[in-house]
Amino acid sequence: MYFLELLVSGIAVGSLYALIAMGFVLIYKGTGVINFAQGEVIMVAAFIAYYLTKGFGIPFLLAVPITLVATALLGAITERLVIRPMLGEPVFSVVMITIGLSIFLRSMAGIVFGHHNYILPNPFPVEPVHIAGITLSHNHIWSMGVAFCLMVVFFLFFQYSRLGLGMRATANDQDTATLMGVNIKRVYALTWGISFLVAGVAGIFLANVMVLNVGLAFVAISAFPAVILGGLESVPGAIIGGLAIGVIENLAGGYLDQMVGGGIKDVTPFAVLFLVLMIKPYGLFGTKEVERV
Amino acid sequence: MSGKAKFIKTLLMTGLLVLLTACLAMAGGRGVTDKEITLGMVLVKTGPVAALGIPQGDGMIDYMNYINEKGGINGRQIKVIWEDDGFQAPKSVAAVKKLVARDNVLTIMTTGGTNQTIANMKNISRYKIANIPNAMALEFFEPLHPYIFALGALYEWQYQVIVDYINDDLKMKDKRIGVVYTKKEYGKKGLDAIKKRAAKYNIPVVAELVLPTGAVDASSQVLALQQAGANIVITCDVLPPIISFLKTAEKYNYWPQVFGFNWATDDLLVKACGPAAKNYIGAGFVGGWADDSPGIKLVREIAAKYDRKPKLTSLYIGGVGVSMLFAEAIKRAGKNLTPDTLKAALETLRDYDTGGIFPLVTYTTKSHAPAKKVKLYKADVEKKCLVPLTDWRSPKDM
Repeated sequence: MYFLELLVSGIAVGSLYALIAMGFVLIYKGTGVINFAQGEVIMVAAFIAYYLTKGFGIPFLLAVPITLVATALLGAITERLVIRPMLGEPVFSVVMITIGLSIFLRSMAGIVFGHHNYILPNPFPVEPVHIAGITLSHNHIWSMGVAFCLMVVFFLFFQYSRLGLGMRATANDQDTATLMGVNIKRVYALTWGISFLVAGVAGIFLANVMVLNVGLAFVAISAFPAVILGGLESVPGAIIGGLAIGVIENLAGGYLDQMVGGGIKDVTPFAVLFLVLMIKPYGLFGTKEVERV
Repeated sequence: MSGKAKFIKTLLMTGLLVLLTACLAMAGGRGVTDKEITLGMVLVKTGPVAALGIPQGDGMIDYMNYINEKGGINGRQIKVIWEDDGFQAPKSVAAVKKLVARDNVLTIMTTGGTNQTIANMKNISRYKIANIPNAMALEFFEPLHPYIFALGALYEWQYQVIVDYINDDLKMKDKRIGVVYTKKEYGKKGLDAIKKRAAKYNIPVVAELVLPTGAVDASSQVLALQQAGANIVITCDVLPPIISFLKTAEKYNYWPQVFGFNWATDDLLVKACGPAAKNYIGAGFVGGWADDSPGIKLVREIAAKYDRKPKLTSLYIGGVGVSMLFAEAIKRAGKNLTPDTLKAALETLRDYDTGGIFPLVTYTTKSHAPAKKVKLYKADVEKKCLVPLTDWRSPKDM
């Protein structure tokens, strides 16, 4: 039973990692850029949800769509003002811009929202759900469900929709995609908007299990091994990577932490990251790049 | 230049220097004029740990404003300049130099946390900055540092008091302690102190688990503690992870007696956790917001006056208390206020009563050590605050 409890709670935490990882993957898949400001977007989204519910007294169910629209808009504005001027520039330069963006957003969040600790009012029932002796919180059940639904939606989107295919083509080769008639500017704006929206979903769920403060931005680092494990450009990979990291982390915490006096739980995801990079550098579901000379 | 001209120039320069020094002395020395005293403080205002600096700084400034409105001290108004160090030692060092060299402050009431104060130790001596750090470390007072006045029981002492309480007062059979800590200075010191003290009482420590500050979840820690049969959990962590821990424990219907130290002894914990905090007991070296003591009543009055609603009440209380000690020392130093007379005045505090904000404060020329006392508070879920469980207590001599 102990093992099962650890396994299931690992899956529950993993679903949160999966949501964060999905945000990284969407931008990479659509633009070929790793957005280092993803954690800050999660934090900003959580603050927006907090102020809507606590500050303006808006019901949670209404605050969620408003938050998601706001974060999607923030994504589109970011793309227009920060990323679009970088079109055609080396990917490395764009990555550096995202690092700058992360510092900017964190500082602005401190100025606008303050540096205190906040508690997002819990919209879910406090009483957990018991299934065959396994305990799960409502928040975790919802995050697992939402992560799975988003995975299906984005998988279908990238596989079958014209826009999704356009996004993949743009990430693969901007020039060729342009020649093939793909509206790169539109693709970029949508990619950043959708990715920020997914970060918004992650932010709302995370703020329900953690204390909300500017430091919430750093949670994205915890999800990074999941992105690498699943493969940078695979949406199902992000989900499976997230779940796997959650489970591995929890099992290590439950079994190994006591043997060595604690600390293994936090190191394990990064040990996995190193192993994956050595054995499968493109991740479990990433696409191996083949260069022909 | 001839030898005579050189001599006259040197004489003139020396004369000017003497005149300047005399003028400064007449005016009251560094940071002091007939009408105003300029003080500095270096405390984090931005960044991930800003939540810890802002309420303390607000408390310090509010008390000085309160004093100013009552006519100041010895006819002088107090001006406080707050420099933000972002909780980084290099920035703290730069801020200290700026406050002394450019703003010409009398002293810097606090130079921040442990690392920042240690990084500033040479400057504190060189510029004679009498200060009370916003942290607890043995290095501050052993060996005696002439200008550092330590305040607040060391982490080790706090955990000794907690384990003493577990042994002497906690009505529970078959006590089994689990420790949840973070791999930071206070976490490691706490763990070590708990293990040593528990060994003296023959209380087994059945689990030691790390819970980092930014942990997304505490499920594995809670499950492991349950598995190990810990019916007492002592946390060596700050508020956010403990809030996560208590909420997760509630989810698993796990109700051990939970203890925490001063950085996690705040009303916010009860407000955030609700019923999940019902078994929480925290140690603190400042009075609680709901106390009836005259000092805490004054703190509440000051907060209301300046329209403050501090999120972390314990830090705001501590801030008011620190300013209260400096105000008293400035008063005792009298008209001839210099860094040296201020330090000497602080050293005259004997069992100084802050009205319940701190335990009685004593500093001498031979010791700037803090009081070894803490109070234990328990969560009152109905009132959404911490209420006193004990009076001030010291670790038992063993």
